[in-house]
Amino acid sequence: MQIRLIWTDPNTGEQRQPQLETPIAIGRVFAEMPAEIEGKRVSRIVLADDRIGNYHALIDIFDNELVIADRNSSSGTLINGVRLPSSTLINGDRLQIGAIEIQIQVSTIRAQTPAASGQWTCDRNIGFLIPRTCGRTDRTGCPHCSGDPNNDPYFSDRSYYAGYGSYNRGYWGSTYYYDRDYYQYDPVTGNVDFTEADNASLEMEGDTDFEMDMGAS
Amino acid sequence: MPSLRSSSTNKTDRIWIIYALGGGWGHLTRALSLARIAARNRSPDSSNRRTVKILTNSPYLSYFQAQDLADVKFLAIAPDVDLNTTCNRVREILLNSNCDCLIVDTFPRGLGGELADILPELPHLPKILIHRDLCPEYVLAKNLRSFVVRHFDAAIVPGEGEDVPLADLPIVRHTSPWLIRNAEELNIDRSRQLLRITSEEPRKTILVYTSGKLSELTLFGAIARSLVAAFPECTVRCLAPVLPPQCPSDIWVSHWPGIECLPAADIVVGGGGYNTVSESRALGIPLIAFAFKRLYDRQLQRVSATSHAIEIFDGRDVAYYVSTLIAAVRSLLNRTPKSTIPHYENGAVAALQAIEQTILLRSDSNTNRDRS
Repeated sequence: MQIRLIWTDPNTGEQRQPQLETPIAIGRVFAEMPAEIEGKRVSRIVLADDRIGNYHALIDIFDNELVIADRNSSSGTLINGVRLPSSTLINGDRLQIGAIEIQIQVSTIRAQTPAASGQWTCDRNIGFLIPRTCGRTDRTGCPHCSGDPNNDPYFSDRSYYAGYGSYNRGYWGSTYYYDRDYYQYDPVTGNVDFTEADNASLEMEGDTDFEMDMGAS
Repeated sequence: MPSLRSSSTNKTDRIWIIYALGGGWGHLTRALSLARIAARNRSPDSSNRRTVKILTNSPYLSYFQAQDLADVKFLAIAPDVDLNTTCNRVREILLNSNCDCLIVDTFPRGLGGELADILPELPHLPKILIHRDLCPEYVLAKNLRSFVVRHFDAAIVPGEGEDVPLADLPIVRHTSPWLIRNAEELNIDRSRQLLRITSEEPRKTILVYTSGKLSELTLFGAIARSLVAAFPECTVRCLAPVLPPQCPSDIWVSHWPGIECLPAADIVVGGGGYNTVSESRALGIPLIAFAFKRLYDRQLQRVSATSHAIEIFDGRDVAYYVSTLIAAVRSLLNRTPKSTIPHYENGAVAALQAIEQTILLRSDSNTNRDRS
């Protein structure tokens, strides 16, 4: 199940609204949160607030319901203003974790997807950093399906970053792929929305291609 | 699945493989400094000899003098093949060789990351990391802390000090720098002979001690030429595998190992690599070091403890380096020359003992596990 979490980063004032697949772990330390639960990859959200536990809470599906469970954090989790160890979530609920208020948007898109109703959907991988399935139902105006490579919005990026699209060990993309839950995705295109910090990181990667030069020292 | 075969059934030799891939002289020379001592000293648990094989892709391999390396074998990979070919070759060699201990120089995951897949296939083999300094960005980017703990039995820091990443890991041991020659193997007269110093006059000798990439010889050549012009009262020599561009041919010397030329030098001008810095420090010769930028090595950090460090920047004019260098040389010329070679400890000897202990511990551990 996909849900959207919406909050404002207290440090930058920037609004975050990633759409994520459950289970979703929330905490302060990425490595403290599980990468997998019962074989399912966990979407890990890192929030920079001292009052938030390393692994503060988990949102997952239990008995066909969306449930949040506090992980015995010292500051607790408030659901619509009430501190509870766990609670069912519905669309519009507000969570208070540390100083950060998170709004829950339960997506119903999946139930209504054209694919589910038998309609054609585009399964092309799109996006620069982390390819995602396109999902469009109409090729009109799609830069990827126009057949003209010059329309590729990431044409110059692909040229600049050697090894684009390779996420195996040794490629610069592997770290980004591993940390993909950190990134914010455009809800319409599914592309990664880059911040200035993301861009700066990429430029650094371009300059430091570790494990790519067998004559280095 | 192929696996590195233990040579334990062979009762005559213990075989060690040292992974020493990388450019420049450093990885290969450091590996050789251990290999020659390991090959000459018998294993403490028996009368078995050690055969040490060095896996290398160094472009300098052909410059080494074969007669000095009779006890050491090379597993050579061409330096000019692409990354995938090199990684595949490493895999092929390591998984199809007899070996009792794998020693990895500098790059825990391999220079191309290839060891990350190979090491897990060698669970029963003792593995030692030679932990030369590494830039922290690399350590972080490739999660080297957990990788080293998971895959290596010991890590030995060869005289790089406490301020290197991973130095706090419990498996780390420190030794003095590893040198390709012990103090008693060096001789001032022999050094003067190698540098073709015939004058009996008390002239100071400035030795340009080239290292690093072949492409960097141009800078060293220009420096050597400028030193000849600036210090006619001194003897200037330039030690390099080939005649550097702009270097006067009559001052060029080609000899390996370079440390044998050092005792006759009063001032050394070189790079900030491991061997240049370690050798000149051990012999107490002032070093004016150019700190080159490297992807993994932090030369500026290493040479910061020397009296004169000159950082190399892209695009800066050679004239700047020459003028800075000449000023530094002038400041050192009044020093009283050393008349003897100081005694120094060669850390490769202590490293050999540390490796043997690790192998024994691992052997006991394997035996106990097999019994249980």
